[in-house]
Amino acid sequence: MICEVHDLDIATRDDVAFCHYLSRCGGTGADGEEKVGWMRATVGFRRISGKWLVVHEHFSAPFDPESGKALFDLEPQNTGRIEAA
Amino acid sequence: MTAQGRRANDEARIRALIDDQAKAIRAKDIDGSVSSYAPDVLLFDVINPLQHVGSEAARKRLAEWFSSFRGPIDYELRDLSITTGDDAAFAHSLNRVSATTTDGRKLDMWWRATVCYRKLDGEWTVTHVHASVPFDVASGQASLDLKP
Repeated sequence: MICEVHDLDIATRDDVAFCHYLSRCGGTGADGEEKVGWMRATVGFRRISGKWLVVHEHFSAPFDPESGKALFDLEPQNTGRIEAA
Repeated sequence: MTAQGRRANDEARIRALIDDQAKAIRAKDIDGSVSSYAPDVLLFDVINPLQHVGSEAARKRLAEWFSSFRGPIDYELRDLSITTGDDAAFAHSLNRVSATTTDGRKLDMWWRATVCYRKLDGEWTVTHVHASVPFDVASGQASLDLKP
């Protein structure tokens, strides 16, 4: 089982926090082939009685609008970033 | 102001930002749709790529999305939940779009939305948006016809 966390960013000050990251996850199938894809994760936390608890989790892969298929072969460098002139 | 009063104010402010954005989306108003976005907002959108960075990328994506529809866009949010702290907040909802595409297809789709805010210079600012649909594990198809 593979579950890596990349590009983690956490925002917090008091008793509310959120974070987002890209997760490379998957594992080795019965046929010995490794199947790994990138997923996007956003997690919302509240500090309740002094303890940080996850109150919301959003985990997904984007889909291809042409085929309607979820996409697991996208790479993080493909950010669609547009640099300011 | 009490901490409770501050929190109620912050929640009302974020709710107003969400309402304003919904109105802008229905009007296909790009400026209004991104007016609360930070310049370096990080977007995880329903369709590829994996991520977009920056409000300019958000504008480009919205322009493509709006131009794929003929006539008005019907847009609604359901089950909105807002959690606010002093400087960080997040909201999640189920969002629906109903519209006719330029090639005449009727689109009626729900997706999951999470929007994260930071208070920057006293203003709640969107720094991260995550929008997605789940997928069917057996077929690998995105689930575009689920309803809440």
